[in-house]
Amino acid sequence: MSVKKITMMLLVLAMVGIMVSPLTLASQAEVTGITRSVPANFATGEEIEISLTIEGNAPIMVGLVENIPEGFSFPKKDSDISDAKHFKVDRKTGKIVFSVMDEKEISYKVIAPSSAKGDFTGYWVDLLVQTPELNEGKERWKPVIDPTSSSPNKGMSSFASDQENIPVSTEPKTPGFGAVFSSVAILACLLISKNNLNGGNNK
Amino acid sequence: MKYPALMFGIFILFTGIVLSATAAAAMDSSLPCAGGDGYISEDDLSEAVCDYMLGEGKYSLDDVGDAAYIYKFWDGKPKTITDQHDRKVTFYRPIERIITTNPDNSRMIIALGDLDKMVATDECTRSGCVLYRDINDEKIAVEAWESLQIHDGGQLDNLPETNTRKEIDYETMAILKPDVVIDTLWYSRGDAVEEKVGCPCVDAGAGFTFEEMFDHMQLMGEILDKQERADELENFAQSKIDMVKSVTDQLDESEIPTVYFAPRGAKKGFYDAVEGRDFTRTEAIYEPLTIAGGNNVAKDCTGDNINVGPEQIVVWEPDYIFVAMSTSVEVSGVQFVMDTPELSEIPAVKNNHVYDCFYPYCRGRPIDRSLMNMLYMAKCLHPEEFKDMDLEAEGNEIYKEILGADGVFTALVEYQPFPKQVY
Repeated sequence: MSVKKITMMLLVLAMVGIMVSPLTLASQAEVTGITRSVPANFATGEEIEISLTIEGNAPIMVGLVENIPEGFSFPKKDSDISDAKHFKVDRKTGKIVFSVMDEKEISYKVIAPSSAKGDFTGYWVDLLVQTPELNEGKERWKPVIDPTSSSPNKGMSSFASDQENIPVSTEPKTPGFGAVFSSVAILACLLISKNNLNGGNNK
Repeated sequence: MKYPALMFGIFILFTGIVLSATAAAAMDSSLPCAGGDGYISEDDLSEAVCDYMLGEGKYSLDDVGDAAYIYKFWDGKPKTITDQHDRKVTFYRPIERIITTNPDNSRMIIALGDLDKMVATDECTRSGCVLYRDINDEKIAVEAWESLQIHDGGQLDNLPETNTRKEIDYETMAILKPDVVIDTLWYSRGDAVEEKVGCPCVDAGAGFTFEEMFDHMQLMGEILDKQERADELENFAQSKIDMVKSVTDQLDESEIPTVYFAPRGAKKGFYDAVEGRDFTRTEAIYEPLTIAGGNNVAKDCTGDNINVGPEQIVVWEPDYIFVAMSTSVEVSGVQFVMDTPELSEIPAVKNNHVYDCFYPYCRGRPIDRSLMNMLYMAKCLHPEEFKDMDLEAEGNEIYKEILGADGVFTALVEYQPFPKQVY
């Protein structure tokens, strides 16, 4: 192999190395949307698969929550629900959550009831978005788009009404000092006022 | 006990002070969502993300977002860098909120594309050291000012001011909860900032050699995870250096004129004991001048603040003199040099080779001005060799690359027209 060919190969390898290096990818990372697909027809008691397609550039790090409609249920065994690498299910509230890492499509299964109320709803948040805002919360969550849903919550436009149901976290990032200091100050005030009411020691 | 209420009040005050100090000094020294081994694994992160999405667990979106970034881009570990004072600075969180204390660092953050992460800065970044103002404090290149928008809207001068030249407002810095303070090199106060503000502090700054400027660029790129952009900037600056060197390296030694450089101008004539704004201050190392094909007569001087006698300048017999002109002065220092009898026998004066040049400082060593001086000095010293160089286009290109704004050089020269004499 000639020196020229080796040099060319090294250059190509270097270019590929730069293109796929984590910090190069950092500037390209952005999830633009997540779309849900629900089968159009299904029978009572049938196990149906819900697919979620993630649009955007790698690397992808997304938190995702899906709420299944009332009446639907999850298969009994967690392993039957999804092949996704990282998910959790809250059967009581009908929620399934995912930690999505560099996957473009994930799915989960639910069992169809004889009658159901409501729609599938879901929200996602791009975890790699960096902003200078402090105490960010659910205002950054975005709705999963469902083109087949009959619900008004099927696109971004319905987010505002649905957002009302998202509890916004208001707790400070590092609680403690304020509460401790306030408690001590209140205690001090009580002690001082008690002393004054008693006439103090210098009566 | 006498005055128990007073004693108790003092105790409470003391407790408050201690608690406040502890809060300020409570620097984050652990990774968010890590499993206790100082490393964020895929399982640690996924557990935290799932709990957060379920509304369970103790982590906020800031926590899981930071953990995701660290897992993806820092291999799940804290990031440690070495600053320009050889201090090891460790980051446990990605940088989303930055405070700078001098314009060189602010300018580099803008050049690297992270202006929207700046939450406060120094008085000179806000005034006229990144973009210019005239002697009446009016903005020069207004469109460029408008184009540099900070994170919640507004221009550079809308950023909160957290330090002046001599004083630093640690309390306001701490309140703003920065992820990093990027401090200047000449105070060596990185450790003090970390202790008082409660976040990592990096000591960083540029110099008058391009190697120092590139070191600064690369360090800033490393801090902000913008190495690729730092490489682009370095390549851009290097291309300008190479363009000039490709000509000046071909010159015979006899064609390299001797030059006296007065970087502080001549506003105060020969002596200014207070601020050093006098003609006798010089720099032993000013690489833009040497690359431009000039032989710095002060190159053998030593020390940081070189102040030579006027007699020495006469003895050096420089062929050319450059007198820096700040935008905050009305009168060019060239007139002082030309009109001063003690300097009248200097070849530069006799041959009318005394020029203004860009003021090379502004609470630092602005890279834009170093590049512009290199090009401008090359045209002054070797007009024939550089006759095809379009100084206005080059100047605008430099500002476009560094600040992302168009027409800055054109606007500057409208206010301070001395470069036009070599167009």
